Amino acid sequence: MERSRVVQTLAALVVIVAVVAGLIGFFVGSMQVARPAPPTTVTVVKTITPSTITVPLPVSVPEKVRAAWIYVGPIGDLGWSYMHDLGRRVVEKLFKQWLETTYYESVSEAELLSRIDELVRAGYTTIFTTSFDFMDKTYEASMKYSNVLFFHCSGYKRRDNMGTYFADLYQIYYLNGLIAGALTKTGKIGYVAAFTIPEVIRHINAFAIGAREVGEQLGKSIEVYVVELGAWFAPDKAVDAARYLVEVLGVDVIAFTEDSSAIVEFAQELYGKGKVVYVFGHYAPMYEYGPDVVVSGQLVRWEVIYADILVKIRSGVLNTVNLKHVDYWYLLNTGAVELGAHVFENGTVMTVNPKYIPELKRITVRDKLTGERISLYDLVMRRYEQMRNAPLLQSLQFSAITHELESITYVDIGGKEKKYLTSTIFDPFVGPLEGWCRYTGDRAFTEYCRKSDRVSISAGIRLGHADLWNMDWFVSWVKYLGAR
Amino acid sequence: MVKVSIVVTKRSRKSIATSTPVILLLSLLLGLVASYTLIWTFSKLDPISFFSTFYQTLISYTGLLEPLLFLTILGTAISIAFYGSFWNVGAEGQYVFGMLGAIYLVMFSPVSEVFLNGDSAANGVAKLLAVISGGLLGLLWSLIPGALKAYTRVSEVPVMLLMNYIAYSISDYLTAGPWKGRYTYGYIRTDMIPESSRLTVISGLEVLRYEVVIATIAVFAIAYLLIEYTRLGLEIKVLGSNPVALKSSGRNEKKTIILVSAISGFIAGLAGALRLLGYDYRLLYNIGDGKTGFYGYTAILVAWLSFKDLRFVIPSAIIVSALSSFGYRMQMFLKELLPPGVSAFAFSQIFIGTTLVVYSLARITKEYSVKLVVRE
Repeated sequence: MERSRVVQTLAALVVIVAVVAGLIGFFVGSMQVARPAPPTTVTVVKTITPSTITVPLPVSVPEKVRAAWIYVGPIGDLGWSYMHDLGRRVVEKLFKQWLETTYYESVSEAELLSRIDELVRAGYTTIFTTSFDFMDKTYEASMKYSNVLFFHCSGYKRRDNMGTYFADLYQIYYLNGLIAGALTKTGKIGYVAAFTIPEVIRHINAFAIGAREVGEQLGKSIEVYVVELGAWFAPDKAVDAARYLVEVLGVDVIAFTEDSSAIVEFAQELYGKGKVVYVFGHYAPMYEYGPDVVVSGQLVRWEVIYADILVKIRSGVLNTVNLKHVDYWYLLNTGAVELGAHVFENGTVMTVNPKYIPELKRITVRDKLTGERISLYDLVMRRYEQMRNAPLLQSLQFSAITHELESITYVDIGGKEKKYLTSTIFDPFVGPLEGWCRYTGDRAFTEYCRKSDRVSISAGIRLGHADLWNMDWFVSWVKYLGAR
Repeated sequence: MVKVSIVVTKRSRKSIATSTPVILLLSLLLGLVASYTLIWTFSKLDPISFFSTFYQTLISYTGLLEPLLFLTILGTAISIAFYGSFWNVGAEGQYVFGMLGAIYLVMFSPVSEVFLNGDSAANGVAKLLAVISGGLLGLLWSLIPGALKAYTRVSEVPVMLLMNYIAYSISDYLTAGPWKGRYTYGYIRTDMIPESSRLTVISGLEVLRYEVVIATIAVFAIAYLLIEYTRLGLEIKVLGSNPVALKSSGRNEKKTIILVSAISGFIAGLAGALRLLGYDYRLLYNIGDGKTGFYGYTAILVAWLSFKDLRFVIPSAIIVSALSSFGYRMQMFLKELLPPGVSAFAFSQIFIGTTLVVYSLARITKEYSVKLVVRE
């Protein structure tokens, strides 16, 4: 007995020693293994009298691009990560001659650096990290690997080799809001929010602005009730919140920011029981989960941004020293976002559920820009076209340097033309708007809410990029019910 | 008529072939073969890719060492409890309480001043205090089921499982309420702890922190000495194997239960504190949604796979963390071979599960011989 114990102890020690020795051996080995090769640089010497300035320029244009994506959720979430991966699949096939891709899914913030290490070791030179939570760790990694290009989705930290990108849905939410204002009978509209961060606040406001624009004309007093979940992916909580909105508050239209189809399925279930609650699909095509209740929704096409970035890398436009101001902010005009909740087999989009088109065509409203009376359906389509049609805007949406120009509707070019339309002719965020601050004092992100707890935008004032990006206030008819 | 029966008999003799390390490695190999077979039926993946990836995972340190350290600390905490038949399934809650203790000390107590304007020596002491206060909160959280077991004979297992959820809720309450951060861009979470309170990154090995490495070695060594060479260790072992003997030898059984729950909870709390100060830097809302990495639960697996023997906590932690890292690496191969849209992640979870199931079933051959007997 005693003997076998000794044998066991010895054997265990042998295993531990072997493992430790293996690890030590590996470290020693890895220190001697060649690190990834530094970027090819050519020293260009410009002779400028009287002194000589040496400017190192990276001149290599990559023959092949190896790009990796890191997702925060599973690609089967039918929302955020799914749509990013769809974008990856599109560019992978399209650029197959020179692009190789891979991805990691369900990566937590804590694991991010390990995953990036692995990807760099495996030779990936372009890395997309697709969660706001990844911002700081991506930044850290970009300092460590200065020869790798990093692109972070939804953040604001940039470096020479780290750019940012985002496709925003606020115009789509406004269009959804127009429909919501027409369909609601109670005037009470619900919104289930993941977090009340500026992005989601902006979407809630745009939705509420659309709903009131139509609802008021139809004699309804519109109120939008917001419940916050505290999580991006929380199907059970989302359904709880939706049930509360419907059963307790009498809400009959719901929009949401949560990465699953749970609320759509819940509404379809209610429909089966004879109760109609209209919903708007979020992010991915969700029509199939609620064909009787999904009126429209928001869709995203990340591939529009991915294709642009990758083409620019392949052709040498974007490289490891010039990403500092690269900040894609793509809206409806770029096609990176879309109105609808379903994509047909031939790739076209169903913008509004055909089941509801006759009803929306029967309702007439006034276009506040022209004063004309048109059907609600036509108003939605007119606004859709107005926000899609802005050919110049896309260049401005590429760089942090030019973002503030996006909200300038016209420039005066003199001559007989005088006014030239540079932006969209219509934007939901134009005063007069009254609101209250969700965050105040030193917790606020905008100047409005640092100074006061109320916001008042004068008539005709169009909010700029910074106002939209930092939005920390709700329009006055939004009621915040707190986190659940 | 032919009768086939499976005969399981307890082994009476021990040999090298049935020694723990041999059984451990063979079981793992069997588990890998089983999960490879499963993958092969779906994707026709070649065996070289599969097994060489596992080998690569084992010899590569990134992605492996960090979970290894935390699973070792937590696995040690749970193993000590298992020696005394105190089934600590509440390490997850104690781990969360460890985080709470550390962040309280660093950001919300008078000590927090030190990190804003203290010198490095004072910082060091304050960091140590933060880690210890995490341990103490873990200890307090574990004392509740310990005391209930000792004095009212309430089973600790359901109590602790439920207390894990209570711990999550307390953390969420604090994160969304009194501790909610100012600089979080609207997210519900606490602010980041000051730079000066964070643990020291090992340069060249950025996934590690000096303090975590030292703490892991210290915890493991002290735990081993405690169990093998002290009177208390002996009492804990007797409590686990024969509590009546402990009582009849005049020892206080209740005191031993309380002590073992306290030690186990303290170590689990330390792990939580180290995690917060070294990696997470803040508390996130909905912490029960995987924000803890579920280390407290995974460590139960580590303790269980180590045959209730402290010496095998480290090999088990290596195997468990290697399997999870292996899962990530396999995604690279699988996503080429699986139809598009099928989650390679989900698939990798299935084969990790298969490997573990076969591995843990095969391990019973250490204690029992299994024979197929065919009789006419």
